[in-house]
Amino acid sequence: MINAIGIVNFEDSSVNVKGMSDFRSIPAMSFLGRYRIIDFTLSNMVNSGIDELSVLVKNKPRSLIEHLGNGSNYNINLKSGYLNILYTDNNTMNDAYFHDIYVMNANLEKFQESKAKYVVISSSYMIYRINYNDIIRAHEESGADITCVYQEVNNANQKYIGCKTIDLDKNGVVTAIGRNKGNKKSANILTETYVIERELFVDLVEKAPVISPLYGLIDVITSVVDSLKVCGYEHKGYLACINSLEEYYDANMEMIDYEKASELFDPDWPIYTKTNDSQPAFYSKNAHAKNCLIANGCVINGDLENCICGRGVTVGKGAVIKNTLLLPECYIAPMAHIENAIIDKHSSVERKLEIIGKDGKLAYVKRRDRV
Amino acid sequence: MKTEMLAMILAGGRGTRLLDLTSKVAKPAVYYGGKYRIIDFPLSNCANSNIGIVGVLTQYESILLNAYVAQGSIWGLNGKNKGVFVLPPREKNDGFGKYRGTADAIYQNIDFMDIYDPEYVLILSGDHIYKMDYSEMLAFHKAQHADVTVAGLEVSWEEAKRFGIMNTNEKDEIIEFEEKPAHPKNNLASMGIYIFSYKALRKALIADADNDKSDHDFGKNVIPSFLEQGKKICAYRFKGYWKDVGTIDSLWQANMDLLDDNDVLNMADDDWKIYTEDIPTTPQFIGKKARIKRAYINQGCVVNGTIENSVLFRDCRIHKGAKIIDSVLMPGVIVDEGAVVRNCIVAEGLEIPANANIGTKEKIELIARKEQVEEQ
Repeated sequence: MINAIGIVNFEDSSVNVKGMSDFRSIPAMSFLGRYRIIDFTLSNMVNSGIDELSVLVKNKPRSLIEHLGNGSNYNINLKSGYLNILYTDNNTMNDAYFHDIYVMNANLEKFQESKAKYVVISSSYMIYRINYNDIIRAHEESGADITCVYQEVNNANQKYIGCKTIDLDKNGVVTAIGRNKGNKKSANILTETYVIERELFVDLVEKAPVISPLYGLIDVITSVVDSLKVCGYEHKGYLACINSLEEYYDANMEMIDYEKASELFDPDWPIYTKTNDSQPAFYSKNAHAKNCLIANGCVINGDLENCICGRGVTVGKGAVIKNTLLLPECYIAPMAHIENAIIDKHSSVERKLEIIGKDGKLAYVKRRDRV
Repeated sequence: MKTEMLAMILAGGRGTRLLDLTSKVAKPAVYYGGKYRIIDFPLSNCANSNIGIVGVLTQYESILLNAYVAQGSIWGLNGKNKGVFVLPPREKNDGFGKYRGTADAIYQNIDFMDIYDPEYVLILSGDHIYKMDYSEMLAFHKAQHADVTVAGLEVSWEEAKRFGIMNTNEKDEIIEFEEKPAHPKNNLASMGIYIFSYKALRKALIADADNDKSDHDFGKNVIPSFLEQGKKICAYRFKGYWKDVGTIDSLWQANMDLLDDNDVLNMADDDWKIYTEDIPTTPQFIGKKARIKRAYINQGCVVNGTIENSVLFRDCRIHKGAKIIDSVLMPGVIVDEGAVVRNCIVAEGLEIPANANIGTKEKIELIARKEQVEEQ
C-alpha cells in the first residue's frame, strides 16, 4: 500500500476555457463524451493505491460534487478511505487572494491529522497516465524535499501557452520555475504534480500567508527552489493540457484516433467514472458514422464524420455533422448541418439548422441553449 | 422488521437448450442486449418498483450468478432495509438439501422471509426479459382482495399451446389453470409472476412440502391447490414486451428485437432504466473505414469493418474488411480482417480468424468453442 494521501488542486487564473467555464470548473468538464477531466487524475491516484483523496474546489462546485458523489465510483474503500471535497467560503477582499493555499489553510486539519508519510498533489487540468509509486520511488532515491513532474516538449511555441516551466541542472535538480510564453519550441512543461513529505507540506502551507497573502502553491514552490532540494521527474508519453477552449477541443478530437488514444488508455489502468446506466449506442438504418468516438446512450440517425458524441446524444435523420464535439445529452434535429463546433451539454439544435465554425474559429452552443 | 412486499427471484434455471452458453453459468446470467445479463431485468424492475428486499434463489452452476447478484449496489439495492440476498440450497440437520421444484425452493427459504415479516411476497423468474412495474400489480392485488395474483400475457392462439393458460371469468378471476393445453380455451398465458399474501403462501408451502405426490411446482401444484380450496386467484393483465428466451433462436430474436424501429423495450427510457454491472471501458471507436447500419453497440468496441443488423457487447474489435451481419457478439469478441460472421451468436472472448466465413443464411448458429472457428 502506498503511504500517501492524494490532493487534486484546482486551476489558477491562467486557465480559461471560454464559454464552458461559465458553467463548471475545469475538472468537471466532459472529456470524450464519457469522462470528466478529473477522472484521469483520480484514477491515477486510485490505481496507484491511494485510498485517501481530497479534491479542492473553488467556484461553481455543484457539477463536480454531483459527479464525484461519495467516491464509490472510483473504487475507493469508503470505510478505510475517503473522497473529500475541500471547500471554504471566500472571505477575501479580492479574488487574487482566493487561491489554492487559501483553501488548503482553511482545511489544514485534514492534512495534519493524516498519518501518511507523503502527499501527492496533482493539477486538475492536465490529462495523462502516471503511476505515483514511481515518483515516490524517485523522490526517495534522489533525497529530494519536493519532486515535481514535468514533460519535455518541442511544440511549446504552439501549445502549453501560459503553463509553468522548469529549468533543470544536469542532476535533475530544479534551478528555476518560469512560464511558457510561447517564444521557444522546446520547454520542460511542469504538470503541477508534486510529491512532498506531508509534514513539510503542512509547514509550507501554514507559512505561505506569512510570506505573502498572494502566494499560491506554485509561488510557494518557486520560493523554495533555492533553499530546498526540488527535483524533476520526467514523464513521457501522452499529455494533454486543457487551458483554453481550443486546447479542450483539440485534446478531445485527437483521441478519435485509436492509436493515439492507446497512448492514454491502458486496459490494466482503468479510468473510473460515474455510470449513467444508459443503453448501448443505437445506429438506425439511416446512420452513417466515420472516424468517430461514440458513448453509450446515443441514438444516431444522421451522418457523422470526425465527431465525438457524448452520452445520450440524439442525432436526427439527415443531419450532417463534421469535426464537432457533441457533449452529453444534446439533441440535433433532422437535417441540421453542423461543422467545427462544440455543442454543450443538454442543448438542442432545432431551429437554426446551420452552425458552422469558420476561419479556424469554433462555433459554440451554450449549455441548455435551444437554437 | 416489517416489510410490505419482498421479492423472491427463482434463478436456478439450467437453460439446457441454450447449449454451451449455459454450460458454466445459469440461464439468468446469460448475456443479452449488448450490455446486460437477463437477471438485470427482474432486478431493475424490483429497484424501479421500490422493492428493497430481493432474495435470489440459485442452484445450477451458481458461482458466477451468486457473485454477480451479491453486488446489490449495481441496481441501487443496497443501503438500510435494502439488499439482494443470494439463497442457494443449504445444509440442515437432516442433511444437505436441494431445491426440488419452484415451490420447494421458496419453502426452504421460509426462514429468510420470516426475518422480514412481509405482508406480500412477489415470486419472479430470473429468466425473463421485460419491463414491469410490480407496484401496479400489488395495487391490483390489494384492490381485488385476492389471495394470489398471477401476471398474464395475451399470446396468439397458436402460441397458447406452449404456455400455462389461465381460464378466467368476466372479473378476471382464474377459474381453471391448464398447462400447455392442446385445445386452449383462452389465450392468457401465465408469466410465472405471482403475488401471494404471505400468510396464505406460507401455509400452502408447508402443506405442499409434506405432500409426497407433489412436484413442488407453483404452476402445477400450488396454484391448483389454491383453486381447489376456493381461494381467490386473479389474473393481472400485462401489456408490453415479454420474452422467455429458452433457445438459441429465441435469444437471437430477442436481441434483434432491440433493432426494431418501434423500440419494443424502450431501452432509452430514463424513467425505467435497466441497470447492469459497470465495467470501465472507453467510448466506442468508429474508424475511417467503418460502415454501420441498424446496430446496437456497447462501449469499448473498436469498429473498422461493416456492421449490419447486429448487437455488439463491450470491447469487441472488428477489423478492416470484416463483416458482421445479423449477429450477436458477446463481450471481447475479435473479428480479424476480412472475416464474415452471419446469423451467429458468438460467445464471450472468441477470436474469428482473418478471412473466415462463419455462419450460413439458413439458420442461427451458436459459436462458443474454438474448434467451431478453426474448422472453417
